[in-house]
Amino acid sequence: MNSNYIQPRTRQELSQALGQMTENSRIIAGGTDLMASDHGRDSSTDLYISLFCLGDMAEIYREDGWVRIGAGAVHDAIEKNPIIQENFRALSMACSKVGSQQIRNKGTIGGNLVNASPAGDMLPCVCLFLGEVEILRADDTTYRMPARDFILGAGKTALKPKEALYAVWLPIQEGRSSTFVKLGSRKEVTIAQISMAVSWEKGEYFQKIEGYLGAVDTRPIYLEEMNHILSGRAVGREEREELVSSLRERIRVIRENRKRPPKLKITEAEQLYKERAVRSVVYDAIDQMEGES
Amino acid sequence: MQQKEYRYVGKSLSNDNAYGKVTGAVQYCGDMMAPGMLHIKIKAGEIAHGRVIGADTSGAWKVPGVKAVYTCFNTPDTLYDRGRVASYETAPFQERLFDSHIRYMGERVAAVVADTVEHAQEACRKIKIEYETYPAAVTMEEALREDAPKIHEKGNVYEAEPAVYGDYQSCSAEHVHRSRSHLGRITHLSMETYAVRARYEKGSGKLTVWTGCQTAFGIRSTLGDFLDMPYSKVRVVKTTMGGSFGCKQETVIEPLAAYAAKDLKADVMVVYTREEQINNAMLKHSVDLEVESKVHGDGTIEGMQIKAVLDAGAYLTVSPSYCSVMGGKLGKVYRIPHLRYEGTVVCTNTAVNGSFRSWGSGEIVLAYENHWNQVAEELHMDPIDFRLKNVHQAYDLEPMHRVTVGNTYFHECLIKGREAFQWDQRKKKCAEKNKNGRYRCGVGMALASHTSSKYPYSSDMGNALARIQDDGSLIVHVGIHDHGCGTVMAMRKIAAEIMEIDLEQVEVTEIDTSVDLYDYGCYASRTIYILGQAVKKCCEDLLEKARQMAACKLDSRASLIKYENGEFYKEDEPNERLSLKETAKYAIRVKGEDLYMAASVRSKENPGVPSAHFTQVKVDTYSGMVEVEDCLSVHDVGKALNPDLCVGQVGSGIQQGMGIALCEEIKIDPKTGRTLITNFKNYEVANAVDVPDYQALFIEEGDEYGPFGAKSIGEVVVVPVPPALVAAVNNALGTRLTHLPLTPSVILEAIERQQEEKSHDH
Repeated sequence: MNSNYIQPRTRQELSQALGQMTENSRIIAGGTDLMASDHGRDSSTDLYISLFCLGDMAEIYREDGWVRIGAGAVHDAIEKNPIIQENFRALSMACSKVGSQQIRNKGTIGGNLVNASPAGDMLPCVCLFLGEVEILRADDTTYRMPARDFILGAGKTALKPKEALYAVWLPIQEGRSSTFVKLGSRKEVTIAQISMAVSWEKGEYFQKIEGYLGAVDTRPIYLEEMNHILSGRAVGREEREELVSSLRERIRVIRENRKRPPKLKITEAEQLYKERAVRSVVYDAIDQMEGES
Repeated sequence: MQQKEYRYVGKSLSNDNAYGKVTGAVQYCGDMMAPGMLHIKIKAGEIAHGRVIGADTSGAWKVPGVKAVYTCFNTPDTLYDRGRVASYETAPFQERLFDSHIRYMGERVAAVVADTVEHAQEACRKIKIEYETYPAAVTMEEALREDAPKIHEKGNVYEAEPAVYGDYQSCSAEHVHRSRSHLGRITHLSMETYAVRARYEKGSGKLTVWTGCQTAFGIRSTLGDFLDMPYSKVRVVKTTMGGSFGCKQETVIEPLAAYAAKDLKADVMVVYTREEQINNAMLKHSVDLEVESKVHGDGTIEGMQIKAVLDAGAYLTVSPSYCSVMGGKLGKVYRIPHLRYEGTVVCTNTAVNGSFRSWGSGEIVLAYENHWNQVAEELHMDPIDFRLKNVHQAYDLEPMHRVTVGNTYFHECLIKGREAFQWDQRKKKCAEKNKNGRYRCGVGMALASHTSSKYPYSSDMGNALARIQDDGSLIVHVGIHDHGCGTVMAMRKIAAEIMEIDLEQVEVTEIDTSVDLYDYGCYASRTIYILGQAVKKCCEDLLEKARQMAACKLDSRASLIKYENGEFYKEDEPNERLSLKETAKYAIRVKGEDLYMAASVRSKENPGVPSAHFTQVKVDTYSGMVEVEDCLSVHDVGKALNPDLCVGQVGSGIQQGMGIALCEEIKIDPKTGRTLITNFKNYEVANAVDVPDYQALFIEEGDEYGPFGAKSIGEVVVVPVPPALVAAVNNALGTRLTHLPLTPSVILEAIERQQEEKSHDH
């Protein structure tokens, strides 16, 4: 099928283009997922709206105690942005671990969120930082909602027809540090099997710890036990193992509640892998936290 | 051997295609365009086993630009075999263009030829196939059962003739050891997928096929026989190849492209997607290997027997031959008085397996090197010391083929490697470090060899034709198929070295069956050893012919004419020089002769290529990830014609070997037989960043016959890497894992078992 292609140059033009969208229309930003999924398929897409020429959508700046990241900002730019590095280190680290350098040069934070892959590296980070998403409508108005409510499940978001994710807003929280750990199937150019985003208040011991576990369920999981186990004390092997046990149990429950195992996990060793390997994520995260404090 | 100072041989010069490749200027087959060219797309079947009982193609014909729709109902019933590489070879002959008997999920059931790829694709989707479903045998276990569904009329199992030397049953050595190893299916990872262009000329009735292949004459014979055309009317031209690793040794899609071209009297192109490359070309066999040995207390091997069971997938193709060749490779490394090999091939309702880099060496070496590492451990011997006791000396008899192993240096590979890798120190350090903690270190090593020719499996010859042009430059025609690794450059160097002319003056063309003398194909690592000899001899003969011509011009006798830097002169008049250009012009203008020469060489030996790999790994016992920290490969190459490209080959072997040992696996759904991994997103390979800064050492003692002493390198580089890595992981963990790949989940499973056993013991 022949598809139309619109490349708006202003927000207004983008809004107008949104008005022309049908349920078969797609928005293309970096294209790192869309091009791969459309390639060689019988595309029913009637309209592509490209975000390539919207400079504002790629910008990152500070505003009223928030940092605003345009949905079109690429991972490489977010990783290297000084405001992000200073305030949202976990996000910078997560961006540095997305795909290959070529993917990081093209792939965008907006694309990562809208695709809502359970293994998406941005998801646990924006949840961790209490981020909000700003959504543009066809009438050129925008509204904001918590990122946590935006992600509904695997591949599912709260985005409605004729809407586009326009920006991500993260509130600046003074006095906090953060870190990000990703366990893939190899060192680099890999998809997360387990990811963890953690933030804490600086001090003698870790305080007010917030943590999210990614890639083990359809949405990032908030880890309330992290604060309970790790805060306000010297963290030793015992605390680490307690957290390992807790997360292992969480992953076990998720596995047992699945109707069937993921199709590539054929052997029992493959099906149990995340439960076993979560120890490495816990130890890496705490090592990094200690290195940072 | 006294090392002569050469102009080009032994100097590092890049692959002559490198500039074109990095700038995108090189034209691959899939890049070819021509007015009116048509495009083929194939339709994949939806069942693992059954029969096509109907095909509704009416929807396909409604798509604009469709020129033909092929199914089993309107194409010939003629059988062919993708694995046959010569007209005189026997093969299982089980394949048809479209078979009504469907044997694996995704097998091609139809094809469309249309004006554009998109139209062909759309039309394929609109074809409706009606099936009758049979029970399927997806695993070897299922296919081996007595009541298993018959995948082929003659049954599912092929037993190879046992390969025997001595009498294993008579062995009485005190240590009996048994081990098992397993290799999973993998894909070849050639960046260029299969691409074929076929053009049939209505006027002349000639068929030309362009393909990035390894066996142009083999393909010609298959197409000629299949289409019932004289070979003289079929021309196969090898195009630039973006990697093969064995997958382009076979005639996979050429018959369909050629059939369509002839049927439509048209110019057609087919390019496989990655999905088709994985599911519809071929994969590397999944193999189960059982080894038993008898060894004396001092570590001397008395006998070894190996049983191998290969999963061929849906069609036998090369598998019987592959399985037999594995047995033939048992005696290449060690002096073992008693050897026995039994091989079985099993057809299953899964994607086809076939040719892969090293053709059986990788499998057989993995089996016995895993085994010897275990035996050395049981005898409390260092694995290098164990091997030093047993390896071949130069010119030992290679028992399976009754030829010698040639001028080989197994001892030196081990001793130099031990020293350069600081094996003993590393081994000690790892053992000390491994007392406790999250990370464990391990070292491992393995030894291998491979072929340099296909002699004496069958005779092996090389042919070359060289022509001096009237400006003194040189064109060499040799039946070469460069896989992308620089064999054309090697031939240019050999020619330029002999002719003492600038490398830029030498053009070497790749194979074109309408121009070139016969060649078997570039496989069995024979290119440098055999074709290199042919080019060298051809240039030497040509130089003699030119010398005689120069003698005429200089009014002297040929025996008094000297040659230096591309110029002839009389010994007593060194200042009067006659260039090749002047000689060629004189030959054409005055003597009425063209300065050309053809030469043939026949293989007299098949020297081994000893290759030792040493590696150190770090295993994360929390995540199961293995990091290769450092490694060294030592290769007895005879002579490295182009050291840089040899180092590159070593790197490619390490990377592929890491993939085989640690992560690569094409998974098949055990219930449906569907190939579950058909893209590189889900296919785990060792990336460039995972490969350490490896070291490569070459032993260059020169082979008796190889050009400038050169033997092979292209395949052997990968062979010792997986068993060395297996040994290193086991050394780190104190395990005996031999079921590959050793993925993080396999490693964590083993650690869990280990801990369970420990707590049980307490």
